[in-house]
Amino acid sequence: MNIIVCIKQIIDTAIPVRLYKIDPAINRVIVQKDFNLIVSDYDRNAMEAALQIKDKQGGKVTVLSLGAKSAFDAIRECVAMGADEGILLNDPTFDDANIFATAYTLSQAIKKIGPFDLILCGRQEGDWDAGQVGTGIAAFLDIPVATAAASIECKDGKIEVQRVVSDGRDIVELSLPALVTVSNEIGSPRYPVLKRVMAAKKKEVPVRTAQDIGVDPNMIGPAAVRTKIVNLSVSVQEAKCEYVTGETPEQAGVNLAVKLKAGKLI
Amino acid sequence: MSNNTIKVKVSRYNPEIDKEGKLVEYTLEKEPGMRILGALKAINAQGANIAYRYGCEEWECGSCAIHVNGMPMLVCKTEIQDGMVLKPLPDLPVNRDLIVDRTKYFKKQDELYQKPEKLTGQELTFENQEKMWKSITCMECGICLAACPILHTTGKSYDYSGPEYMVQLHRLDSDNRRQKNALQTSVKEGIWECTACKYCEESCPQRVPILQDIIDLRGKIMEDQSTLVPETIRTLNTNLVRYSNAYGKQKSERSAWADGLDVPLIKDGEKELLLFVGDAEAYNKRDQATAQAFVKILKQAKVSFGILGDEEANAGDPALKTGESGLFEELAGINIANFKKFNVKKIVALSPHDYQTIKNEYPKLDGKFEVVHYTQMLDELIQCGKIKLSKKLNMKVTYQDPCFLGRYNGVYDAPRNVLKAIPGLTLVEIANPKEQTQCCGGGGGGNWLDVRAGERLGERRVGQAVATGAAILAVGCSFCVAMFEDAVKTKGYEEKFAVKQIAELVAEAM
Repeated sequence: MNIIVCIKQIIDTAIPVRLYKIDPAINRVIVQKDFNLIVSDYDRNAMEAALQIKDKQGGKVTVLSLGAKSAFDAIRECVAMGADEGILLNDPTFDDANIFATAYTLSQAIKKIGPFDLILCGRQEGDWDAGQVGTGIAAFLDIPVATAAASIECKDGKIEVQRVVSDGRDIVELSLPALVTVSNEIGSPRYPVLKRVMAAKKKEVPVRTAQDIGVDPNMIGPAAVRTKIVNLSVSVQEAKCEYVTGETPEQAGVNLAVKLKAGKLI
Repeated sequence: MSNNTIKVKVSRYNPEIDKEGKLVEYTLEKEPGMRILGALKAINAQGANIAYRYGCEEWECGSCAIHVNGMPMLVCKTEIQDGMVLKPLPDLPVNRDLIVDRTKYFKKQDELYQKPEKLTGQELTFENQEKMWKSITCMECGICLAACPILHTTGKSYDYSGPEYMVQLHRLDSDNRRQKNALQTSVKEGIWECTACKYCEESCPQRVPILQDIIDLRGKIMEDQSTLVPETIRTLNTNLVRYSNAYGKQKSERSAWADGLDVPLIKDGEKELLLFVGDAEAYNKRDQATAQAFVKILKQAKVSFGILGDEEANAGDPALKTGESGLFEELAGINIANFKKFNVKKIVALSPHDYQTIKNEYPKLDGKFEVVHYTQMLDELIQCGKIKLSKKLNMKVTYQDPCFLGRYNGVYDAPRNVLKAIPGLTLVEIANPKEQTQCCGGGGGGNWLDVRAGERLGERRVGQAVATGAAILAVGCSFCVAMFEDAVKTKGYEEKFAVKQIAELVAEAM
């Protein structure tokens, strides 16, 4: 099976918010020098899903990312995990791509890559949590899509996907080619040993530009903006601690319940 | 009574008469170099009729293993000493006196190794023979199984079949003549539970590198089948890759523990000593207290020292013991480069794991440095009078030998000397001290594993500590602190018992 996995390199989500700095003029997070960049966590789950399928029935896994040159590292980490190929989409006109432009650009690149059976994305990005790029790609390619997959099973040229929903699982069947966004329930991603990561650094990762993949300039950049950030700020976290007491532990419990109810917390 | 007259106690048990075994004392003349086997023969010549098992008499067959003074040994190899207590191997049905029923061991062995299997039709390669030959010398005596502390916990807290089987699986995995899935089997048999305490390897009469076999198997799993690695261990190594620390904390916050303490950085001028802080002491609130106490002592003793600050990386022990050797080399490389850059002459490490790694693993990567554990340094400072202990600590204290300090490196006296030097403090020995020390459960990645219901290693050891009547369990390792403090809480000893680092006790007594 021919699988394409779309990944995004993001600022490490483990960095405490208090270390963030915002450029208010352009409403953007300033990426500081000592900030780690990682493969977005759900995208690593998507990689894991792809490799699980590859383990079972063979095939080829291609990693695709739209981003800065630093995203070479992210792609190579996926190669170390077990992907066969990687492609980076990098062009000055791709900078500041919003959700719409990202989905469009990725879909154009996928058309150029050639025939595929399955596209996998993380259910949402680890930084903005929008969760729209995957479905966006499917719309541009006009193929079936299932979101938030907990499992993907291949059955006679089709796939059966268990989707995570609030009251259990939805089971849907999709004809191929299709796009599936993957949730963490698929299983935690495999660990690439450092030796493999080092070896993957030698892997050639081709760069494709706007011209290479043939994008319509009206679909990217300022002309295509569909969303606007009005205000971006670092939230201040405050914790107030109050000890609820009582004459007996039971009474303390009752007092706590009363407080919680008054605060509309239960 | 001649000078060579010795007394030994032997466990006697006849299932037809006795409810349980009882110790009986025997007196005999010791010939020069006499082994326990010779002593048993001599005692029986007096008509004692002790039942024991032996075969080859040249430590090859492994049939004569028993418990000697609480440690598993071969009677044909070990010299008899006055006062020895001889018992059958633990946790096995006793047939009579020193003879145990080892059917359980052999059944497992057959299940893992001798079951019918497909052959590949290949001949054994020289390369693989080399990997296998030490495992082949295993004579299935069961001594490592008697030593492994995990196998003697009660309840289903661990799912580990034991070191001997890991050796066999290592052998199987290296054998290209057989089709096998030794890696999956080793995971099923609980390979990730091993805490790398090394009791098995140190007890092995054939010196099979048991722990190395386990780590080699883990390395293969990590490399080829990382989905079989526990998720928490994967996260541990991912953290080490991303942040050079095991806790997933920011590098830029590594020296936050020293804020306001005016701790000098080694890069600001040469110092006599580098204080290697370690991950736990740098990032864990509880363990930061240890680093802070030790810094207070060093300052009072007017020692010229410095730290690497945010440039320090994890010494690499967790990566090494979980089979990520490439990552270990990377981390060690960061530290070695810094030690060389700042012309470090001597290092003191707070964690025995860092001490062991710098002392015995870094030289393999061209990083030879003089390193001591902090308790050794305290011992030295007290002996030369640089630390004055003036406050009385009227308390009864027992001490846990950390595996990586004691068993790995033979450091038993220094920590005890320090404790004995504290005025008012009474040191009482815990059961199974020194060479017999019982792991807290934190090593070999254990600190990062999820625990199940049932008795944990830490709980078992804390129970032994409480039984001494002491109020404090003194330790020299942050893993011991974590494991034992948990155990104190889960066992409900909080009101009468506490765990303290030796540095904290010394700082208190100054």
